[in-house]
Amino acid sequence: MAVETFSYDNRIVRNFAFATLLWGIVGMLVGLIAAFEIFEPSVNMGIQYLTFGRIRPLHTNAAIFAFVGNGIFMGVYYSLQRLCKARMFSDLLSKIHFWGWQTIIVLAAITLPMGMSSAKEYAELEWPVDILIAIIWIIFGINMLGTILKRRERHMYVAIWFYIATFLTVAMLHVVNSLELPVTLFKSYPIYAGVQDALVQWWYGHNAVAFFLTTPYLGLMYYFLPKAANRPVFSYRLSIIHFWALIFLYIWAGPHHLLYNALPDWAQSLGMVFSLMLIAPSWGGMLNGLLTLRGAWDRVRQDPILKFMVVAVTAYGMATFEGPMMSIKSVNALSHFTDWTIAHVHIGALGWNGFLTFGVVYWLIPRIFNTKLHSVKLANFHFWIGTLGIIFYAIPMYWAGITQGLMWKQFNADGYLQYPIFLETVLQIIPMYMLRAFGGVLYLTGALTGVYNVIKTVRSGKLIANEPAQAPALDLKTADTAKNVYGHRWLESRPVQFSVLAFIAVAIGGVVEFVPTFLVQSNVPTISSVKPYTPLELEGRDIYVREGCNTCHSQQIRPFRSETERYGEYSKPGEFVYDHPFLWGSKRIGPDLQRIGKKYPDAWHYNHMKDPRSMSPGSIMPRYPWLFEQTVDTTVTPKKIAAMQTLGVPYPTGYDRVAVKDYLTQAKQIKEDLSTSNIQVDENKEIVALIAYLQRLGTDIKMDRTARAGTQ
Amino acid sequence: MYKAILQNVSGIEILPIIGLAIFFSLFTAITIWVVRLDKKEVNRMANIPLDDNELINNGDVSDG
Repeated sequence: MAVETFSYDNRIVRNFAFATLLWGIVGMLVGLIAAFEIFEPSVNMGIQYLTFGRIRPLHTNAAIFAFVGNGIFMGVYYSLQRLCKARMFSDLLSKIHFWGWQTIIVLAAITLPMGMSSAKEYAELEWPVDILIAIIWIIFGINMLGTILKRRERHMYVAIWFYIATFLTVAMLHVVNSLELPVTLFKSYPIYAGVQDALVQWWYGHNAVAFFLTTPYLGLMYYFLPKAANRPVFSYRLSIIHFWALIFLYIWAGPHHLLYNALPDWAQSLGMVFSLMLIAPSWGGMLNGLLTLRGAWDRVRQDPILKFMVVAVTAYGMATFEGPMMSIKSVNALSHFTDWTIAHVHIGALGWNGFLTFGVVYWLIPRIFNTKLHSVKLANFHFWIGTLGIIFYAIPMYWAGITQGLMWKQFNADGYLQYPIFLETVLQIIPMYMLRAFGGVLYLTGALTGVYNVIKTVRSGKLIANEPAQAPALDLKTADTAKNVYGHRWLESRPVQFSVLAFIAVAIGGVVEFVPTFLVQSNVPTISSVKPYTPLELEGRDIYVREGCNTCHSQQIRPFRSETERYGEYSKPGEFVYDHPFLWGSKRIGPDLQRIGKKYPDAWHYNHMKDPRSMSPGSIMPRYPWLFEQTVDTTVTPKKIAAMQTLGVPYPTGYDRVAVKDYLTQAKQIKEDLSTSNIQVDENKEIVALIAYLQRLGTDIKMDRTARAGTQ
Repeated sequence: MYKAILQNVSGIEILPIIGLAIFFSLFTAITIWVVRLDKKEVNRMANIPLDDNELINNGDVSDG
């Protein structure tokens, strides 16, 4: 066949590489600010846009979508062209993809500190940005699949399968989890509520980890590790098995509670086996990566790129062992809501994603700029200080998580809680929070030296914007009509069929989870005393979401005696049927609030929000003075009621027209209640709405219990 | 919490068992196919990243 000459687009790789580094620094910096705020809340300098609750989602979104996201595209655009022996399908789509993605990030950086959040983790961005994400993601997919279809290399290397699976699954996850009803330009409510919302959210959340943080990076590993080591992957056969096992299992082994808690005992054991089974395909990938270096470990000693990659793959193995362990009920009973979860996340984020990104950057920047890395010594320094950073991050967080988890559960000899004051358990781990922040400083320092090293490297070279290449044109007829082409080999040459099958594999998992999810909604036991939120409480709830209160406070009391003693009756599914979105939370930096209603007088909440330390000495919660200045825009309130009605919340017909009247009536009651404690406040202020919401929490079934005395 | 709800859904137990059955049958089938792959082809595919005739220096980076 005739040899064709073409060129690889390195400009787009350079652009994504620079974006990766820029947003990496930004994301780490925001994380560092958050880490300092946890033990010194005044770090936000009284600015509402900088509180922990507002910037925590900025940090997670920046780390996942801005840093890792651009890292994915950097690696995919470099490797896909060369694996396909073809230039990207469309230079225009490449540019739209790049600028579109950066636009999304800038929108996130503006909207999230402003409190425009859906409260759904790693999906906080509001509906206009969600639409933009879908559009840009599809453009990425078209560009990628178009390149695959015009390839000159018949066989799709394993990395490409991971890229395809990533694209398809993330599209599915994003669309399903982002189904929301807009109320205003930057406010919407999810169509799901309560338990159903929780299931959808964590199907999305765990699989965002799987298909945004893992599968694309496994693809990058399968390309860049062999390139850096100059040897082929250890076992191609293993890569086939572990790919299909991974994408099938991951998608539904994630929300394990869904699957095995309702089953008879023998099936529960099976369910636990499932979660543990996921270790196998994950470790298949890890072993394939590490064993690629068998016999070449002396080079790892000298080459910082290989060092980064080895630690990355090892961190991947650690995190994918730890995850299934943490999904075991008895382990999860201790770890849930603690910093152990945070430690686990950051082993993956700092070790696997961060370090693999750095390894890839150090490898490909000199190449596309036709020069040598400016300083190998500095790259080695980056490696060591980054590794120290990971250690100083993770070990204090493990210590803190286990300490606090045990303290929450501790009973004294008389049968009472040993540490009944939640704050006691927080103060105990403050030193650990400081050490973690120090770990973050180390890691960020390493990243900054990396940026410096890259800048010097770039300046010493010249970009090969269009790298010439040659390959024979692909003859669709003669290739692969040989006799033994069946099964997976047949599949690898046919990207469309491959994509369909990959999608079916992940969709089966989706169906296994979703059928119960939809059945669940009609199977949530109704509690007759649970009523919709009043207009005032609804506005207060939206303020709670805006301030990111759910990032520190959970609303989910588990059926353990240590929790019912501390917080009250454990949470029932029927209590959450009108919660659009659900606010169960995933971390207790502060105490659970599910039954905070009527525990303290209105005046307590007023003073506590103004200055938490006035009510709880030593508290790490920041002040919220703006809640006392800002007023609620009640012209939007009827729209919110109408939206809730559309979503099925049973307000009376036409209630949106009287909603503001009820709002003011209830607000005036709170105002009067506060004035008996010598507190004067205008009933339109945001603090009144927030107090109303907090005082409502968990009270519905208290009413029911007194009404049904004698029953559980 | 999910247990209380899911127990109400009749016949729910069958779903994860179907999933398990699909997984194991596919896993076994794929493993058998993989073991039977032709060795030369396997080596060729594993080397795809390395046989790209890169014009840029492929030398390793090391500290002397």
